[in-house]
Amino acid sequence: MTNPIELLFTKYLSNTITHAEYKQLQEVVAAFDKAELESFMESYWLEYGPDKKFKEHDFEALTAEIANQVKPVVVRSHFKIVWQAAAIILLPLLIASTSFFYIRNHQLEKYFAKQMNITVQSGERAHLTLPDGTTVRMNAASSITYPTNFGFQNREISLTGEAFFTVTKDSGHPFIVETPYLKVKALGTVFNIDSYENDDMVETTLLEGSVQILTKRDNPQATLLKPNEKAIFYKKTGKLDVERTDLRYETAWVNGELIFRSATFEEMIKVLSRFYGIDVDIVSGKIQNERYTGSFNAKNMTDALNLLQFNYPFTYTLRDNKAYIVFN
Amino acid sequence: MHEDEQLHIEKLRNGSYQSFKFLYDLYVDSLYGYTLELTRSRLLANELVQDTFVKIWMNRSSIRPELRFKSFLFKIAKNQLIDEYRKKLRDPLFEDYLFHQGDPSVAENPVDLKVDFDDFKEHLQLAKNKLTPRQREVFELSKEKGYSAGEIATRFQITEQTVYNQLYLAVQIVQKAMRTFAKFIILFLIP
Repeated sequence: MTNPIELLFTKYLSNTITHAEYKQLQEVVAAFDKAELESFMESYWLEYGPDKKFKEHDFEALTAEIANQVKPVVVRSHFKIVWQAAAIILLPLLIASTSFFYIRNHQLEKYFAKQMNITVQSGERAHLTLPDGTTVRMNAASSITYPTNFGFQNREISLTGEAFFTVTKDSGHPFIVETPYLKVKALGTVFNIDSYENDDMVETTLLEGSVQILTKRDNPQATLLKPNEKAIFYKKTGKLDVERTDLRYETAWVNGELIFRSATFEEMIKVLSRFYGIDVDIVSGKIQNERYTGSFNAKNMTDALNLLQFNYPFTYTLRDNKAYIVFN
Repeated sequence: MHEDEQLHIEKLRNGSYQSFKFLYDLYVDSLYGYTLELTRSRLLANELVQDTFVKIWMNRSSIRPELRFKSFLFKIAKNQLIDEYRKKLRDPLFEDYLFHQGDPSVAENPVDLKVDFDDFKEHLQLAKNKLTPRQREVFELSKEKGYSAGEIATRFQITEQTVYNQLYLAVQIVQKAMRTFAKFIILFLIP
């Protein structure tokens, strides 16, 4: 150790530093930028090895924390998760790590065969991390299901509703999202799937990487998406189209924003109702068929309806989580 | 490098929890000991070990098998490690803690610490209850926030000499109280 700073650092670590030297070290550490500190901290670390064992750490606590990481983060209130069993993630990990020699494979498989289901209600959104590190942002009124062994042997997940996936790269295990109409297969990509049951189309938008789309009904079709493209599957005709799209428009919901492009009043109401968790009843009057293009950054249903009133001649009342709309 | 390390890194990348446990066992004491030497806090060392290994499991597919696992560990832990170390070196109370023994011959190896920085702060909190409210204010401003005697004098509109007197008294009381809590002698440094 010829470098005087490294010498100070070494003395600090071994608790042999004098008070005057400590004052010097304080100044050096305050003046150094992160990269400089990093380089000598790393070189010391690579040589470092204590001669004793510590009893304090707890691998089981670590395992529990890892299991905890796959719990979704609540974005809005009233978030409900259906845990098939609270311990299903924890148990297999504990068993696998501590006593895997004693447990027969079929018993482990039994634990692994359970399904996790995460459901987001209307008016809510959620952000969660899957066991493989993939992050999922779930839009309102959506649900995903995956087996507890997700990421161990395969990465298959089923979706209803809409979700935005940032998939962790793992070439050994393709990431597959299954919806009632099609399968989307990905290897380390960012994409959005819009597959609400009461919509006429299923839309898959790709932001990064590539995904393969396979339709599931008769005459199966397959297509490969490139970034900035959107695949539209028409449920009635079974047709699969690919078009270029505006990513800002497709994924605005992730940032709590809504963008409509040439949408009818009823289409917008359907989306708003889901997004804010408010039922809407169009009570009377003739709905104007004028199409609307624009973005919404409304805080709640009242704000959204007030904005729409600039373009459509209607009045509304909000009562018990339900909006009643009357066209003039 | 441990002969099996390469194999276990490869298996960890493919999601093996057993290999994760193997690598954990291999490096946990190094990471714990190093963090403890840097921060003198067992609580923090435990937290950092846990956070780091959780991140390793979550990011296992990005481990580069040609690198030493120890380098990867550092990559994951370094930001937290550097931030905490910097924080400690800026803390005036930490300085008092480090040099409380006064005589360097009493200095222990940090990993054998009987009283870590957290224990020290806990004892100090209890000891401060023996102070009058004004003594306590002066003590905290000087010892915990690092204000100079001049700054404290201006703040309370008293003379610097009064600050020194108050502080001397407060340190005496705190030292006496801490002796009953801990089996070591604290020599607070009078500014």
